[in-house]
Amino acid sequence: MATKRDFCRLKRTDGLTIMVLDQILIDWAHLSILTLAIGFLLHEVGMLSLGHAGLLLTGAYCWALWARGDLSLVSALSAAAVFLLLMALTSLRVQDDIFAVVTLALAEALRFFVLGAYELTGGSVGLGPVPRSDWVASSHGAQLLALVTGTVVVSVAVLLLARWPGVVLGSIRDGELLSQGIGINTGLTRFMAFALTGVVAEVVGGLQVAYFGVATPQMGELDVSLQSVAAAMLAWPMWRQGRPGRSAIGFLLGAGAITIAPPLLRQLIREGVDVAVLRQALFGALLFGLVHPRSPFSRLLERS
Amino acid sequence: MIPSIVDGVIASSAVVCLALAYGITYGMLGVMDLTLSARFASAAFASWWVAQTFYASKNPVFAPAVWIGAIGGATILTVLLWMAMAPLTRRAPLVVLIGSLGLVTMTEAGFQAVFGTTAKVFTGYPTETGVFFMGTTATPLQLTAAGYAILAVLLTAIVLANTGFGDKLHAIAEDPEVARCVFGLNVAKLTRQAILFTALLIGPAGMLYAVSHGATAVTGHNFGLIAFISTIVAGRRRPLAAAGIALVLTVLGTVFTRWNMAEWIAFTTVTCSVVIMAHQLIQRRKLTVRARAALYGTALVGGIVLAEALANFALRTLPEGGQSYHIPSAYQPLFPYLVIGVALLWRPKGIFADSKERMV
Repeated sequence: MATKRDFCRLKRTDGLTIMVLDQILIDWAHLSILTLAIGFLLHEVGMLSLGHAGLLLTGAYCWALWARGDLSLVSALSAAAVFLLLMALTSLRVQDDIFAVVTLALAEALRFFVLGAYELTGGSVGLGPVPRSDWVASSHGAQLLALVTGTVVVSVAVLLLARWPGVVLGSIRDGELLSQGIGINTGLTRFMAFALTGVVAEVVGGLQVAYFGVATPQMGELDVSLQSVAAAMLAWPMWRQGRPGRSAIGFLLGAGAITIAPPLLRQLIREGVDVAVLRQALFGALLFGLVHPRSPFSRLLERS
Repeated sequence: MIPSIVDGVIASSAVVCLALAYGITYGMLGVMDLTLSARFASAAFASWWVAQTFYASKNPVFAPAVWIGAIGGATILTVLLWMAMAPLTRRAPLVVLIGSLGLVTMTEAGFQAVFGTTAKVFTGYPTETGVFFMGTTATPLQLTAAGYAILAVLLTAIVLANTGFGDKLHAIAEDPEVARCVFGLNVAKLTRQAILFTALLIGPAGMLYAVSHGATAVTGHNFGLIAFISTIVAGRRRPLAAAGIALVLTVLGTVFTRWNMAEWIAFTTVTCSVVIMAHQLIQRRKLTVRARAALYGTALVGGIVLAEALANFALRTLPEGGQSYHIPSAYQPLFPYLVIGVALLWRPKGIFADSKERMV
């Protein structure tokens, strides 16, 4: 069994290791951007969405169809907008915990649609290979694209949340009836928040297709949303009302912890244990521990 | 047309039992616990273990120990999961939701570690010949499962309507604080009893499902979400309506890819018109929930019978292409979600929710 020291000894001179590290970095970047979307929606507006993976899937397929020449740019953007609008209009009819479940159901519906429309989407095999330039398909290109996207998302978040829109969102989160009483259109504001974060999720889907060169239904599974939710919850100690920059750092760190855990486990436990099962169990334990009142995680979050 | 519907009714037994359980845990107790599908899987594995250990060459449906094993498996996991979940229920519903998702993930990993990823098949289950039933063919096992689902619905209806336990549950569902402070009910104890009652409901359903489909770590997950959404679509405090919605969704999912164009045209024009007319009638009069459910059910059945007659007529008049066109079967899982989307857009508080009720 490999030890921690073995893992630390790995040098970048090993070609395979460089590839693995690059892959981790790209996964981290993509998860971070998705976590920014889900995290801001959760902490700033108080809406837990389990359906952003479905929007990610929509973005991925729209990008793939456009890149393959099956759809024009306007048609692809329109299709992405229509799916986002459908999800927003349906899920925003309900609130709180029901909203989370409805978004999850709609994401599943999108995934089933992708699986069913095999003539358009390739079914369970996916849509690929997607033609793209070598630079976009390279690790450095993907990292730079993710960095630029992340910077834009954080900049927009800082511009919006550090000013009055952040206060408006906070008032809706803390008391919707009160905010309605002072003249805030809560329905429209919630719709705008959901739509903005949905666009970010769709962009992440596009980035993933640009790098991997294939769009698959697995991109829209519940696990993708759960990872982002877990990262956003890990970032809770860093969150402050009106301090989006600080929150963004928290989301980056949370996403980093979620991304690094599986390869670290693979390095530490190489034999004897089915690592995929162990990873799944640990992820479940983390998710449960984050909300259980007696767990160290939860106590840490409450103390902070 | 009607044989397809009968097929759907027969296939819906497991999802109906799960919807009943969700209707009690979420609909009545307000606990957003998504671990019911994991308990369903535990019943499947427990019954498989009992059957393979003691009755390897016997039909498991006729072995009482297998039924007891299924209920025991579901009950043990229910107790364990509830011990973990109970502290969360004092917090916000979102906390319960995330915690239960974490528990589902852990339980699934646990099942995979213990039983592996391949489906566990009941070797003692014999090859059965189908029984001709209302225009379709069903195996005795399918009929047993459908019979059990009917029994579960009747049992739940009797318990909720005619027992003191049911009255107390209704009181908790209306307002837990009032139930505790005014009526002096022990809410925690009653909640535990209700959760155990759901284990009794889904245990045999898990066993009957596993006998035909095999037991895997994700048994129950595929239709667990449909069952839960049925509870939301039905409205709070309506476990029987949740079971009804689950039944309708499964039937519509079954017929979605089986019906040809003539049958769909007949269904959408006649059946939907009759149901909408019944809805208009119901809206104008102040009726009880039971009367509304009965009227909706009657309208649906009457509409289907009328649609069958129209479809038979249309089959003779439609061009060949229209008769033979079927929606591709790959879209089958999508249909219940489409119905759910439409239902939520129509009545976000739930179809059977009171007009003044604010569910969400």
